[in-house]
Amino acid sequence: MNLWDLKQHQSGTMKAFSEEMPEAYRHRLQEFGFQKGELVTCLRQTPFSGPKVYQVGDSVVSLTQDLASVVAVEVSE
Amino acid sequence: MNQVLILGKPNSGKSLLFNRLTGANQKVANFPGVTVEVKRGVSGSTMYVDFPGVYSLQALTTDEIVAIQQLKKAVADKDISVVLCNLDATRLERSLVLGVQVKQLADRHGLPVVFSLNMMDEISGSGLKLDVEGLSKDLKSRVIAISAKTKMGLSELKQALDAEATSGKRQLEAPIGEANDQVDFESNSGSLLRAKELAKKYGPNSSVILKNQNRIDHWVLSDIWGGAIFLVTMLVLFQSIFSWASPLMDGVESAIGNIGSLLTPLLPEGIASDFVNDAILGGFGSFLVFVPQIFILTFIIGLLEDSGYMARAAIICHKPLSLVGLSGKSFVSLLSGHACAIPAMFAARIIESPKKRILTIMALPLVACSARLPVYSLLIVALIPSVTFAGGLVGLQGLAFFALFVFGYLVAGIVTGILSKTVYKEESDAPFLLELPPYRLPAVGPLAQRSIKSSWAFVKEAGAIIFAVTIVVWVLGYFPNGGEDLGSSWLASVGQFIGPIFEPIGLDWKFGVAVLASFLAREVFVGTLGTLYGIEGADENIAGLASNLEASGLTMGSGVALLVFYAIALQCVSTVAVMKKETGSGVLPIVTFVAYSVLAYILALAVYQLF
Ligand SMILES: Nc1nc2c(ncn2[C@@H]2O[C@H](COP(=O)(O)OP(=O)(O)OP(=O)(O)O)[C@@H](O)[C@H]2O)c(=O)[nH]1
Ligand SMILES: [Mg+2]
Repeated sequence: MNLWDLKQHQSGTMKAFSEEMPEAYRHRLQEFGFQKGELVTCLRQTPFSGPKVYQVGDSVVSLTQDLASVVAVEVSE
Repeated sequence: MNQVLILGKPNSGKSLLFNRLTGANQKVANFPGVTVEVKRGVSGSTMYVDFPGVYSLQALTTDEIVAIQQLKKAVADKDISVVLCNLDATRLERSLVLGVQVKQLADRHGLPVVFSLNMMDEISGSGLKLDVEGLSKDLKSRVIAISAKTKMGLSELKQALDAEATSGKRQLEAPIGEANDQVDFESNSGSLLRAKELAKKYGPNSSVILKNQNRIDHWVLSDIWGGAIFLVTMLVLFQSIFSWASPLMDGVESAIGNIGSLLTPLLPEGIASDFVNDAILGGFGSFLVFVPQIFILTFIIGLLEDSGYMARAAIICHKPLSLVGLSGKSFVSLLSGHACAIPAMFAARIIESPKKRILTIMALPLVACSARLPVYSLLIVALIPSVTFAGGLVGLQGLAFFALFVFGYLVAGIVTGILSKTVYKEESDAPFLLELPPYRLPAVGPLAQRSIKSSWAFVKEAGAIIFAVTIVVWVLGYFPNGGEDLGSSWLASVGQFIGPIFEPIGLDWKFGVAVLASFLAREVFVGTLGTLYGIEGADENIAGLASNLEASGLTMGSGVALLVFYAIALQCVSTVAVMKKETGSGVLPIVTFVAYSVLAYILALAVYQLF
């Protein structure tokens, strides 16, 4: 499962970035708190199926599908 | 002189702090990436240097590469006495990622670091606690709790900076040989861990802080409400430019009229009095009437930028703008383009994708900027009756205004849509990534000051050109027959020459002259027409250029054609120059200029034929 699959208000534990994630973006996302083992919550889907809004730690970040879909997360039910 | 380098994460309040420390008026807005160029300011015996914010010493875009290089160079610079690293207390972990790296880097250069822990007003406002002392001990640096907003802690901060700067620590620990500035991946993940650890130990509970923001976002970004709020905001924005400014504009207009009636009796009959009335009051004065509108526009856009809404607007717009080759972040640049295209082109640097950035720059000249306002208002008032509905809330003239703004966007969308699928098809692209700032009540005072300052700068800059052009136009229009007959003046001969260009749009030579003169700067149009009608008017009738136009028999078809022309033509020398700087291409601005001029003329022609 990846970040983009998270539904509104659903949380998941961050697992890994896939190979397709450009390195510079991987670094930036890590700086934003997207690190292995962190709890990521999808706060909002947005109009016109635009970028989604995620919270991780103290940051709230908006990602488009091309980035969010290459971040693996695990949802524990 | 002591030099203090202000560094920190984007949107942590560096520029507001810089303004407080130096009395400067740098742009402050609630959006990451506002400051794009290094800015210096002096207070007493200290020079402060405001840097563009960066998230870490690892760059994502080419502009960040430049900013980080500059930062590293500055830290190595012997003239710098201390680094002021600004932390956002409400985003402590995020701020400390850079904070820890800066501390490391500065240590290697023997440069002292003072941390300012900003936004403390918000921390105490939400009843949260932060262990400043513990953080300071752990970081082995001074940490001063401040609020750049309320000015809390600023004097302690200055003392701390002075103490560090004069301690001479820098010389003592000067590095041996070349310092290794490379923060490699090892230490990068190290700084991530360290930031997390520090924030957990000493920081506030972030979920409390984010609760408010998330509650508002629930509505602002929701599927149905999000779009509606966006549209209403835009409509109110543009409508208010028109309606709020009217009383101020009327004030300026009557003030100029009064000056005229006071001055005229004092001046000798003839050329001197004619010059003052026609050129100064009629020409330059009719431009001044529109300055309040420019002020209000800057102010309202500033309100929006300082509220935190821009980031949300960028998200809402991202998908639709992607369809025409732009990014959601383009919206931030385009909206500020309503004030002026030049800072907006700099603001386009926040766009990660080189392709979308260049397309945004191409779109900007089509955004209804404040220099177009005088032209739009003048023609709208002359052409469209002042009817209001819904108890004065919505006016016909305001709607026409809005329509012109939308028209600009429409043309821009078509242009960028085509370019992104043709000329710039292969240009490199990059995904959208945006940190959402909290919502804040805009700081009205500093914003009003900044708006006044920028309106004044506009008056000075545009004023110089308008003044010069107005005088030339007046001289050519007044002689050789002493203003008795404009139709046989020197200017009229020039006018006959260019007449054939404007005849197909149903415009006489006076408009032709005004349009031509305004290729220097759009706002010259109003000044030129003001002067010409000044010369022509038998009685001194300075006020009411719009009614003069109405009386001159300007038809709806020609008027609308003229509006369409002004909406598209790139009549601004400075925009062309900045375009060259920001794209690094000498050809592109020229091609754009020619293309938009031709397009403007063709569409104007088409509109006139349709009516
Ligand atoms: N409540 C509160 N808001 C603040 C404080 N300091 C700054 N702000 C607000 O924070 C936002 C960002 O301020 P800026 O000074 O533009 O931030 P910056 O660090 O220069 O940002 P960049 O130039 O984008 O790197 C603005 O909305 C400010 O009004 C503070 O102490 N308290
Ligand atoms: Mg700034």
